[in-house]
Amino acid sequence: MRRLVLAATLLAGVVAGAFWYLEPDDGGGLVLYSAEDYGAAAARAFTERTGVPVSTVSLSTGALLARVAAEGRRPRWDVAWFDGAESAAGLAAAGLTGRLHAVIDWNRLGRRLVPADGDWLPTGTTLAGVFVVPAVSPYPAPRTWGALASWQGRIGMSNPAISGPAFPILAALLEAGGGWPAGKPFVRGLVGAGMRIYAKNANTLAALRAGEIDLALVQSSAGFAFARVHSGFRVVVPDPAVALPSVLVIPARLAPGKRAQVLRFARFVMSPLGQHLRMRMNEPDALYWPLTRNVARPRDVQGLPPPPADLKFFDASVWGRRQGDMDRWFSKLWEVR
Amino acid sequence: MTARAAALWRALARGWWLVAVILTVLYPLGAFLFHGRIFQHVDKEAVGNSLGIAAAATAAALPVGFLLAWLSECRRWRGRGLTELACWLVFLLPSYLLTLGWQTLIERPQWMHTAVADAFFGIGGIVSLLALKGVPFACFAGRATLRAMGAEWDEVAAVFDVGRVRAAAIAARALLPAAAASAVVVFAESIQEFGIPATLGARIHLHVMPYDIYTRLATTPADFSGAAGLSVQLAAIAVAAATVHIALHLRFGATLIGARHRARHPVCPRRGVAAAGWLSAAATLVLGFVIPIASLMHQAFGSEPQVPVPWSSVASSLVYALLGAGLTLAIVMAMLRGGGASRSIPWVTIAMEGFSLAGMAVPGVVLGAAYVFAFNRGPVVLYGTPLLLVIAYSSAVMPMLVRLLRAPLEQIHVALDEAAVVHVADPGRRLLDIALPLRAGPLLWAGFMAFATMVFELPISELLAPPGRTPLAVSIVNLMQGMNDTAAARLGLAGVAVVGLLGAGLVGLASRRLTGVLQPGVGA
Repeated sequence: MRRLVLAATLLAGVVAGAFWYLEPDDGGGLVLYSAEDYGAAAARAFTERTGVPVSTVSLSTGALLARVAAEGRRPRWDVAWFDGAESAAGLAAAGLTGRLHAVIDWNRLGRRLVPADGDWLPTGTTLAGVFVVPAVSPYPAPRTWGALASWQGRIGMSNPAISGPAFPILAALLEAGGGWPAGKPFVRGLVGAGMRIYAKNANTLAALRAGEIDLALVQSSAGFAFARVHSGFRVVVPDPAVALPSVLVIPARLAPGKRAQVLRFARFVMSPLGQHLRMRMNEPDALYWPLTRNVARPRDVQGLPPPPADLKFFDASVWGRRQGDMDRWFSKLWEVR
Repeated sequence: MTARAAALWRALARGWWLVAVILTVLYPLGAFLFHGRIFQHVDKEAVGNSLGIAAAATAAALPVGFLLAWLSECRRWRGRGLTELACWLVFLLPSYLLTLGWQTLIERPQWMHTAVADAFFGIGGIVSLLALKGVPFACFAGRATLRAMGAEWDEVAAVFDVGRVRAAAIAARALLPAAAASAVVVFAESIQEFGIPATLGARIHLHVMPYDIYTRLATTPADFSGAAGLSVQLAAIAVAAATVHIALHLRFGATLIGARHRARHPVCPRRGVAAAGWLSAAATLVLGFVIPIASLMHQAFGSEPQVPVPWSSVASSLVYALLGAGLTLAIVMAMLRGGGASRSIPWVTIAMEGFSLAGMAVPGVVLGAAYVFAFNRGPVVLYGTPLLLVIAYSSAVMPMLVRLLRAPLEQIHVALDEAAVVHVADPGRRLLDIALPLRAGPLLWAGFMAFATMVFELPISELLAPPGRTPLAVSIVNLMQGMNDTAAARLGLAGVAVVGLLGAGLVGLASRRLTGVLQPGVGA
């Protein structure tokens, strides 16, 4: 019996030690759900600077949205960070997020992206879709969304039902055809002409590299990152270019103390220091345009072209409500091919 | 202690596993699935594709896996070591790394325009990878059942000199329950797989049920009700497969009863059969492990990673998996002990079959969402804690372990435990010196299987990972999403290497202390 007691004690000790190791040490700080590459690094820097601990859960956009929705009105997060104002608008419409107003020194672009109701806080912007094409191609690269319809090359894009940032590309295509539902024939025409679909941006770009397609429709951050590494390809910014901002959202009914900490966090990630840290990350999400004044890309990191002058902004709340319907319609479109 | 209190204590000691299963599997899943629109429109195309792909993968994996199981258990065959190596290594490699390895290879420009690439990014590639992942399951499940069979049927055929055809028919009849066990396991594993069809089937836009479930959960607003309804449909398909298996088991199960009484003295296989076995084992090893790992290594060391590799997630996942595997073994052991005592009651067998197969067919993303719903409210709020992730891992793996451990554990004759009770008064000695060593083989083998599955588990980890301790699979997928394939490949390889080393250490330890401990079903 003594051996059994000894074995049980030893086992209990090992289990307790394991759980002690795994136990998150949030120390009353913030819980950040992040689908941005630089989320964890920004959180660490914020903690070093302010002493406010931040526990980060890094997730893909789809998993992050599923987790936030599943937690519903009992959120275990204090701030979430991801690409896509449409998704943020969807969460707000479902009553899952609260309002976040921060005093930020916005630039002209930023002022256009900040929603009046404060349902989300934009932290930078990329473009919903750019055309990545071979530097040397028999087909002159299209310059507009509409020109895709008559373009002779093969087009590929990611599946919006799997790749979160691909939804705004679908929205841009539909908008180019006249909106929803008027743009359906335009998209149907592209699919009918042989447009290919891939699981995620990485697969779409791999197909481009292998010569299976001649034009990859991807988020600008992915496109610029790809072209930076593969010199045989270039990025064409379509006209009109559509903004795809990264956003911060907070849960509905966040405690005042936590709200104050989130505001500090938001101000930090929008400060020149916070933004330089984000831009220095050697990852696609770092390739964004700032929305604040007095912030430029550091000289020692590879630059981006200036943001398009006539950047287009979708009404996120309108397009966000349509996301489910549009994804399902797009899926059906492929089924009947 | 009063008589009533003593009786209550005994009942608790015997039935705690039932409480554990109800609280950790039936309650969260039941509550979530019941909430679903069960009678929603059935997407015939998704159902048809899922059924077709799972059936094709099963048809491809079963002959290979079952041949390897039969040769390993019923014949004196020198390829047994290679079979074990191949099956364990393919089992260890998670489907997303298997897919990434092959995809990295096929997406090279020199391959992309070939017929191989066309086949790979389509039904052929999906079925092939699912079949490769299915071979170890078919082999493990087949071996667990074959091990329990004696030599009676062979001997009867020899004694009565029934001729080759009749002998083959008798052998086939005897092997049918084991083959069916292998088939349903591969089928259930294949039908719930999301990553392989979603990645390779995107180009042909192949609709499968797990894909629809994922889409409903990841689109804003999330359609939990629809996802739950689809999951019920998926589980119903697995239950239908389980029913076929149970029918075969009940009809031909007599072949298993009493079969332990005569030990098998295996003979050498015929040369052609042995060659087929060698070829099958080698092909499984090369296609399911060597090529994807080589491709990943090329990816991992062909360039420097652009971002730091989050090595700490390997340690986190090892600890999560260690706790999860221990918990699962404790529950499954108690469950099978309780179920074993009632094995003469047919509904107990049917309930366990249904539980294990329906459980295996429920996608991880559904189990994760069910856990968020169940444990983020009510009197016990566990959501956001490491404990809940450990329990969820356990629930996910429990059905598989019930299925794989049932045959070997139930084969341990109850008289051995009874003899221990009669001759050894100390319960501690009974447990540590008799009960556990008797079961050490299958428990070590199954525990390692559970551990390896949990280390690489993805969908549950994404939904339940507590802040701060990111599991390995989540880190790998995050790196892949950020197009940091070099870092992702390094991290994935590190995980495989650590788990492989632990497995090798276990084999070494077991070979010194216990004979043949890592063979499914051994120890019975």
